[in-house]
Amino acid sequence: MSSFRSILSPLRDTGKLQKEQFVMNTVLVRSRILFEKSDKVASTLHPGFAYGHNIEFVRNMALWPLELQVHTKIKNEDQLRYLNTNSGWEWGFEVSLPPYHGDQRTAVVDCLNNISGTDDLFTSILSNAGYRDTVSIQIEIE
Amino acid sequence: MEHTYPSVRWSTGSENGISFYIVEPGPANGRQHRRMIGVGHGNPLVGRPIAYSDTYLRESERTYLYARHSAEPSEFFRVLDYFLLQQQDEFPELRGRRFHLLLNNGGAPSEVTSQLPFSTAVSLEGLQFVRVYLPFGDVAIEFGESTTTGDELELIRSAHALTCKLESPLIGCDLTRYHVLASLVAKLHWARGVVPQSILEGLIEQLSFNPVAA
Repeated sequence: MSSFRSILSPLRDTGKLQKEQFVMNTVLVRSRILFEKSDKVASTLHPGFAYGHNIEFVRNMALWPLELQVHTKIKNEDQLRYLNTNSGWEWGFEVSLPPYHGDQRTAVVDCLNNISGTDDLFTSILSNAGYRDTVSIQIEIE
Repeated sequence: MEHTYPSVRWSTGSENGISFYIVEPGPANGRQHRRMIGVGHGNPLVGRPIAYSDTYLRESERTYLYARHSAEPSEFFRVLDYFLLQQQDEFPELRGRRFHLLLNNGGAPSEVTSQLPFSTAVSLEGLQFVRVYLPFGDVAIEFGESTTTGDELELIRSAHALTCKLESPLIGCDLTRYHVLASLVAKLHWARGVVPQSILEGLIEQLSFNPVAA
């Protein structure tokens, strides 16, 4: 009854704007910036274009469920801004992950200006057991 | 505000003088959760979650059992090696077999295949989580700081509610087809130093097998 299926397939794209790591000990998460209406990972952002910030919980590898609150912030909101969220500089959602299940969400992010050449997206993940993990991506703006 | 399961029901039972509730919320999102909590007087299990169980009703009634443990990674692998060697008479396919393991070392994922013994083959540096794929059901274990939920009985008795919080670190196993792994959980259980091993095994077996009375 061995149920082994690899979850560590090579990252689907060589674009730089992605981060993959475990959170809550047991969940592999990918945070990445995609070209708008595409699953291709961006390497740099350009002012005047919109992108997708995708957060994918690939799979909960534990044998117990997880309830997670996810909250992402932009470091410099003069350069990047989320569209269609309550606040332009942050967005969040809740996700329930039974064993061996995953989930993902995407928010549209608008590249407004290039002021410093870089920006950061900080994603904070809080479990209902009270644990917190963070995943951050540094963004290059051309 | 703390998340709770409302309107729970419970049954009582005992194992060698240790009394317990098996507490059960209604099924939600295809999942039936059950929790064994110690009751009575004068033993360290009173008010504490002994073990948890989930049955996923939409997934062929797949059933997992899990509990807080007190093992370091090196001890876990030693105990697992010995446990699997003991199972080779009943499961001869374990002999000479290579097993898949998923590891989380300091947040970095890796997958390895290894023969027994794992205790000399697996990197323990920064180990936070392991999933071992076994022919009779998988085992998953996390390592880290211990957290507890305290006395869970008051909320059950006063409000018929159960905290959604889980203690940690947890060890879990898949009991969908075989129950042999329940004894592995007992060997690493947080109460193994204060409750005899045979009683812990009996308690965990009771959660594995017995449904809540209607």
